[in-house]
Amino acid sequence: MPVETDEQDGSGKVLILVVERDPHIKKLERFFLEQAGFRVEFADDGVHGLERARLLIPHLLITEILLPGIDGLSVCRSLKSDPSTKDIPVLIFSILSAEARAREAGADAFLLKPLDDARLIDAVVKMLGDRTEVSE
Amino acid sequence: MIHLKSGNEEIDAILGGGFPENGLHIIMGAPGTGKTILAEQLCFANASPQRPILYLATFPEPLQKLVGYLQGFSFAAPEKIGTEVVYDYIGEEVLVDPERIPARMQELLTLHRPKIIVIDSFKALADLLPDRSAWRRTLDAIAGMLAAYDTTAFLVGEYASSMINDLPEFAVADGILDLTRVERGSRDERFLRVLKLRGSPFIAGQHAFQLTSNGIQAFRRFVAPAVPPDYSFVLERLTSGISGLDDMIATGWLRGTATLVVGPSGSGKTSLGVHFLRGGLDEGEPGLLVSFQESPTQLFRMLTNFGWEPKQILGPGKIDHLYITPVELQIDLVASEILRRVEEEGIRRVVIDSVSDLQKGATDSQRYREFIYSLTQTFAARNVTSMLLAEAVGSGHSSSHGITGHEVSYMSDNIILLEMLLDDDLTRTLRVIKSRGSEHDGRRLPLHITSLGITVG
Repeated sequence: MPVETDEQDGSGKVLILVVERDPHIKKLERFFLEQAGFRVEFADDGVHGLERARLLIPHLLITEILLPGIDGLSVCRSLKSDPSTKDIPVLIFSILSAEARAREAGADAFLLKPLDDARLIDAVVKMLGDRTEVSE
Repeated sequence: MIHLKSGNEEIDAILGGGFPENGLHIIMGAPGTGKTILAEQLCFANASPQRPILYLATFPEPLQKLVGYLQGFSFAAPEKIGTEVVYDYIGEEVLVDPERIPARMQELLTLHRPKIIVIDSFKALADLLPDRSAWRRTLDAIAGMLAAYDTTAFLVGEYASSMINDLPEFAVADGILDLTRVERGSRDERFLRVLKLRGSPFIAGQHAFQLTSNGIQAFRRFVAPAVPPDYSFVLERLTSGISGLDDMIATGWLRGTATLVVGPSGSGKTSLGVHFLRGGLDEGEPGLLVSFQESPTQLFRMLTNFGWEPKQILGPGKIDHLYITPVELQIDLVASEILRRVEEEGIRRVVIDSVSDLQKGATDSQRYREFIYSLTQTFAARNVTSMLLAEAVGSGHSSSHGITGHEVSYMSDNIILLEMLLDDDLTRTLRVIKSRGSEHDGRRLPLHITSLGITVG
């Protein structure tokens, strides 16, 4: 599969969109993902998460289930049912122990909070496969 | 749920398995109660390459002291310091600008990536902030950060019980462990109490602990067994080991019962207890003598005076002697040690000499009653036959009620009263004044203590 990187900012870095409302999780996710060489964008709720995903077409989307408005599982289902976004890998990263529900919604992977940086980066790298090599 | 070890099995049991992982726990208490020792003890009990630990001091000088004092404890592993257990300092810039505390916490968290973080003293951080609203904002940011990251936090602070309802840190805490020190005459007793522990079936109440070179050694508050003695009728009659006494009770001494022996000093209580144990040994029953006054030397002399060979009858599996000085008596420690020996040595008879010393070691009369009840119930549940010796209170005993001052008598199956008549000659007497559910000879009979042993009648 050809390597695709985000060209919008000219950084050449893999783009990850994070849909998360907890400011502390966001700070930590930004720190660890950026330190691992990714570019990170955020959305605070499900509606904006979907909008930004359709606009940015990120290389990977991380979402919490518990979101205002549309929950993370619905975000995942919508992305996977839309031909323009169905190929975006989705990692559900939630405080809810709901791996089966996440898989049913079409998620490619599931991680339970709290945030363990090693597990998060490991999951992201595995999901991206060859795409991560460009940023390293 | 995963639990973190405290470094002491008794504390883990009190906590219901340990500290729940990913929680935010407060270790509180006045200066000198042992907070820092407990925090460091649990750090080294959990440290590993996979579980790095950050010990964060909030003032520069204590960091040096922390590490210095630490090395006096056996749990400290110097080879882990700097790798698995990292000591760091909150930083001067935070003291100058306390609003930077959350940002500094994030820096430390992302730098060290600890699975356990200890902040000592956390209360000192609050004292840096100009007002309560500023502290609330800061606390919210710190607590949010700690909750977001995969770490377990221990916030150590010189908090008093009166602060629990007022300070916001107690509202966000998942666990609160309160350490106290109580002055009892010229000595101190230390206790820990779990005030809150989300997601854990902890044992409530006050539990004693000691500070030792091994760290904190706790003793669960001794309580009656969860499963009470059953109602199956145990009618196994035992010999008391005292000539003439067995005939005074119709059913004899039944296995698993508790006998209270009350009398003034010199009336023969200890001698009676020792004969009771010797009688058991002759029947192949290991015994335990718990003494708070009779030292090993004094016991040795007493046994020799009865014509016995102490070395042949004393020791584990025979008559074990547990001597604890009454000066440092801590009743939960005593219970813990008695039960350990009962279990390990298969002890069938126990003599406590005396419960009056236990009474002095209890925090209050209610705790003493609970303790004696728990002790007799525990013995009964294990079919251990016990004899509790007690100093007589006051003079004259017209009834058994309140004979030992704190209503211990009603918890006993049998009561023996020893008296001394001080005329021209010293005359000792023995009287059975209670034998639950059994006819008994209630007459006052002479008690003879001779070089050949004790006889009644």
